[in-house]
Formats: sequence, structure tokens, C-alpha cells
Amino acid sequence: MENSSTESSDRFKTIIAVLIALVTFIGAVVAWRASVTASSAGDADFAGLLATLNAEETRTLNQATMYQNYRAYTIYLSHNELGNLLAADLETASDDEAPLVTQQKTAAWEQATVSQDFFPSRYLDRAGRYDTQRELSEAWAEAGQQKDLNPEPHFAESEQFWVKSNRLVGILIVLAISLLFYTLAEGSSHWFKYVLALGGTLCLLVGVAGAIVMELLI
Amino acid sequence: MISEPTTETKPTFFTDARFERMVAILIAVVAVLAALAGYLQAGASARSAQANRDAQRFAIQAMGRNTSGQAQLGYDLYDAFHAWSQLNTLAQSAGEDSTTRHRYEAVRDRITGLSPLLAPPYFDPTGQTWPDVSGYEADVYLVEATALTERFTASAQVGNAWSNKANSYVAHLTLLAVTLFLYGLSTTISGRVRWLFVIAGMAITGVTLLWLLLVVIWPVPVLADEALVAYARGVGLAYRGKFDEATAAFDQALVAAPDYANAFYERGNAHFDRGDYQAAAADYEAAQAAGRDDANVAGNLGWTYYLLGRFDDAIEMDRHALEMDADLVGAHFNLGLALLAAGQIEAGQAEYANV
Repeated sequence: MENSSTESSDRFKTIIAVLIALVTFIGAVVAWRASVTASSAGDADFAGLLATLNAEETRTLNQATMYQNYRAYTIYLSHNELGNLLAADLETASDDEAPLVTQQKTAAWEQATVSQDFFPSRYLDRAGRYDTQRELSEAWAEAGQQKDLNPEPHFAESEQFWVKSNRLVGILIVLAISLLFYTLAEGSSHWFKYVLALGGTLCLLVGVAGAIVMELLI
Repeated sequence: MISEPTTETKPTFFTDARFERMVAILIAVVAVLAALAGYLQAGASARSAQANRDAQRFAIQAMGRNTSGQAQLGYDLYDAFHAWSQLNTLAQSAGEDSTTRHRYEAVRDRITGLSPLLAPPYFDPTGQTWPDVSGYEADVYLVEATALTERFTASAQVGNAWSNKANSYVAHLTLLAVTLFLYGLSTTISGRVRWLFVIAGMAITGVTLLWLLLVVIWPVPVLADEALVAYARGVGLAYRGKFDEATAAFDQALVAAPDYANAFYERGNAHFDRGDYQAAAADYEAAQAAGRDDANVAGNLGWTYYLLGRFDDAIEMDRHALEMDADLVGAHFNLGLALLAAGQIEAGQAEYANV
């Protein structure tokens, strides 16, 4: 009877020792996954910041280019409008005034023509107005084909990774509690040790299940 | 037969086996605490990284907004309004020649449609010769850029606070590792000395736990968005010269965030520009108390003290400003002036000579 009791106790301690080793191993794996996930979050943050920089750089350069063109359009508009008004006045001008008005009209239109070389005329609408929004939109779309201009998906991905990493680290607490239960069970010779061992095993299973869910969901 | 004297050994509760079991349990408890500290450290590190990332994003956006805004203003003022002014002048120069005058006025009016700066509420040609450039700047980019800059500062402060917490948790983990070492060492020693290690380990664990709880409950400074928005609005209003409305906006910011140092400083500037030097000095002092003790605040406060006739305070504050930034020329001049006003002629002369 005594031998049987001793053998049973030894077997129990052996099982507990194996479970403690298992908890330690699983804890190491979970810690590794938490570290890898945190690293992924950092990478996503970097990608998001790069996209933010690209977006601001593109926006600023596009605006500078657009206003450069708009400046030339302003000069064109002034001369072109003046030329149009002079052409209209020519119809009612006297014979004495006509040569001067003609000269002024020609000069205004020639200046308008020269100014037209300094902005893209494809952004002029039928009424002769310069479509600044269209120019900015086209430039943005063109830049978007070459660079990443949208940081939000990266930041959203980063948030998910941080949440996952934190939760995996939280699972380590559950595994540590499991370790505590096993340690108490190993040191006890009362029947209560089986309850403690069961508590430790439940914590271990919850920890493993939680880690698997984290890996699969996020 | 002579019998050997026998010595009775007292039965002890803590046999070697019991002692080792107790130490094993203590080690397991410390392991749980270490896991908790590790979780808190990971969380604090993550929040610090997120806050610093947000700070960088806001800084980039603020710079972009300022640059774009300046480009827009450059066209509106130096191209559109310039062209408008030239045509307006030509129209006025036409004198009795109504045909020419109408011609130039027609072209001038076409230019008006090219820029919002040339239309109400920024410009009314019948009553103004120059548009409200500061109001336009405030509306186009200044308020937004200010808000982004404040968000950058607030995020950086939050990142710093979480980083400090994370570093504290690392210290806790280190102390718990020392505890584990002491517990482990105690199992290799026999006799009463091993209790020394156990008690030392428990003491370190207790102190670490208290310190950890203190770090957990220590608040992280978070600036309310409402305060930030009101502050940015106030900066825009002050830029336009609307100091009463700006002060009201800064009051709103301080209601939402009573320790908002920048709001105190800008409200101080608004009071100063209105000529209320007492209120300005009070706000500059409040800004310093709230944590913004830089050369600008000290320099402005020193000058305000001078205007209030508090020459000794002015000298002390100007010197404080120069300790933080020795190249602040304005503070040197103010110090020299305050020294002269306080009757320290030679010191004042020396200060001017230094500049």
C-alpha cells in the first residue's frame, strides 16, 4: 500500500513537472509571437508615416505647380480680356481712333498668346475658365500611381497588430497563473493537489486557446 | 559502559523540503507579478509608439499645411491682387476717357473672380484699398496648421509619458529578476542565513509591487481636443487683431484644459496687445507654472514687468531668459533697459556693450 501511494505521488509529480515544462515552452512561443507582432506593428507605422510624407509632399508640390500655372493664366486672362474688349470697341471707334485701338488689340492678344505657353491649356473649360481642381486631381492621381499616398490603411493595420501583441502578452499572465497552480500542486501532499493541478490545466488550456484565437483572428 | 551524551534536536516546522516548497511558491508568485509587469510594459511601449507615430504624422501635416497655405497666399496676394491693383490704377488713370476706364474696370472685375481674397468678407473695393490678408491667412491655413502643431505637441507629450511608464516597468522587471535570484540562492544555503535572502526577496517584491501600482495609477497628460480647437481659433483671432474674441477663445481652451500652458501664453500675448499688462503678466506667470518655462515666455514676462515698473522682477526674468537662450538679443536690450531704470547704470551700460 505504501509503495503504491509513493509511486502514485511520484507519478503525479512527474506529470506536474512535465506540465510546468510545457507551460514554459508555450510561454516562450507566445512571447515570441507577441514580439513578432509588435515588430509588424512598427513596420506598418513606418509605412503609414512614409505614405503621410508622400501625401504632403505631393500635395504641396502640386499646389505650387498649379499656382505657377494659374499665375500665367491670370496674365493671359488680363491680356485676352483686354484684347476682346478692344475688339468690341473697334466696331464703334472713329476713323482716328481705329488704328490705335487696333494696335492695342493686337498687342493685347499677342501678349495673351505668349502667356498661353506658360500654362497647360487643357485645363481651360469652354468658358475660358481655368479648372484648378481638375489640375490638382489629375496630378494627385498620377502621383498615386507611383507612390503610396494613403496612410490610413497602414495605421489601421498597425492598431490591429498592437492590439494582438498586447493580448498575446496578456496571455502570459494566464500562463504564469497556471505555473503558480502547478507549483502549489507539486508542493502539496493533500488531495487538494488534484484540484490545484486541474486549475493549472484549465489556465493552460485557456491560454493556449486564447493564443490560437489571436493568431487566427488578427 | 560509558554512554555517549545525547543531544536532543528540536523538531522544526520548516524542514528543507518544506522550505524549498515555500520558495517554489514564492518564485511562482513572482513569476505572475513579472508577467503582469511585462504586460503593462508592453502596453505602455505600444501606446508610446502610437503616440510618437501620431506626433510625427501631425508634424508632417502641419508643415505641409503651412507650405501649401503660403503658396496659395502668394498667388492670391502677389499675383491676383497685384493684377487687380494695376488694372484699378489704369482705370483711375484713364480720367475723362470713359471707354478706356470701362475697359480696364471690366478686366479688373474678371480678375476678382480668380481669388477669394478679392471678394467679401476679405475685400470690398468700395471701402478698402487693401484686402484683409491676416483674416484670409487665418481662415485658409493658419488655424488648421496651429491645430496640427498643437496635436503634434500633445501627442509627443503623451508618447513621452507612456515611454517613462514603460521604462519604469522595465525597472520593476529587473527588480523582480533580482528577487528570483535571491530566492534561488536561498535554496542552495542551509541554516538561518537562507531566511535573509527570502526576507530580502519579499521586501524587494513588496516595494516593487507598490511602485508598480503607483506607476499604473499615475495619470498620463491628455489634452482635450475641445481645448486644442479653441486654442487654434484663438490664435487665428489674435492674428487678425481681434484680441477680445481671441481672449474669449483662450478662456474656453483653459476651461477645457486648466493647465494648458500654451493657452496661458497666447492669452497673455492678447492681453499685452490690448494694453492690459497686469493680466498679461499673470498669464505669463501661469504659463511658467503650467510647465512652459522657455526663453520666449520669460522674455515677454520680463518686458511686461518693465512696463509695469517692476524693474527688479524685470531684471531677474530677463536674466532667466538669457540663461535659457544667451542669443536672445531682445532680452539683452530689455535687461540693459531694466538695469538703467533700476539705477544700476554701470551694469546697464555693460549689458548694452555686451550686445
